[in-house]
Amino acid sequence: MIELIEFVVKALVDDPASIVIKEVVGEKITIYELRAAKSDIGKIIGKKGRTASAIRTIMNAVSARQGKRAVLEIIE
Amino acid sequence: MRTVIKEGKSTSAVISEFMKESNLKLDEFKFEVMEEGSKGLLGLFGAKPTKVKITLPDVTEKIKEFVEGILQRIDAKYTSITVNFKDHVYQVDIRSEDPGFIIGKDAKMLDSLQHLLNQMINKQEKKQLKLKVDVDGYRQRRQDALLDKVKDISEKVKEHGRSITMEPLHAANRRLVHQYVEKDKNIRTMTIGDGEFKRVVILPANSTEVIPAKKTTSRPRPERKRNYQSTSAK
Repeated sequence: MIELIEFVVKALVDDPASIVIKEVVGEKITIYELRAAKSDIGKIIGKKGRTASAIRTIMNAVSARQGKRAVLEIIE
Repeated sequence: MRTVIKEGKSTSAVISEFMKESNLKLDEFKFEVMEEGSKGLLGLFGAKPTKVKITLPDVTEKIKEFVEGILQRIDAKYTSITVNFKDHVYQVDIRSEDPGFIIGKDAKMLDSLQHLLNQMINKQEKKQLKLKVDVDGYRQRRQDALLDKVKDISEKVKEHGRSITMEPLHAANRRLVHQYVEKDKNIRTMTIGDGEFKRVVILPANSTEVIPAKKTTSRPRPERKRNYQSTSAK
């Protein structure tokens, strides 16, 4: 999952080197904390949050198939 | 594939020069040394420059790479990916044994993939490119089904002389409806509603019927209520 987020997000930003994704594994829910350069946050979220929700939609579909739940948190 | 040939003192000099020029990273292009240069005698006589052939992946290949990259990372099985450029749009067709997963509920997954790929390629190419993604002809089938329905409704409208309101549709689908109805002089279209819930009304061309926008928004739609509240909160 981290590879997926990384692959997508790194292609979207100006500064791929400062992308950090941390996985916080819970009992049922896994949280993915995404940090990026401040100027890149907007690109990850997108107009009206469209890009962020597209990433979440794909994450949900993938984790649902594995019987898990995934949450993406974009941290400023 | 685009190829360029550059000359310089040494291979590394040519490559670093090229990277500066094109703003590309080392793993974004391929290169091949065609001719090893030589300094010549005391660096004065018979000096030959190093020739390097640089191959840039073109947009089609880049798109394919992105699609493959995502599909592999979400563990989606696919048999082939083809990218065609037609009418200013890059049409990506994925063939898969498990199209249901890639399409997702209400094509949400497919729309998400399409949106992300659009953003990714536009960022990388620094151009406004338009990309459409389809799996096993799904969108084409949906489009045909929608137009069949519009045809049916149009016939009914003409027969009864009364308007018929369609269910809420996405912008792209509404466009198809408008375009279809436009061809028929006897009927016209109107749009009512807001945001996610815009609906197309098909009505006879000479109709003076007033479409009460209020009535349709207050109609109970239990399964959509949650979404509705979130959009109205904006």
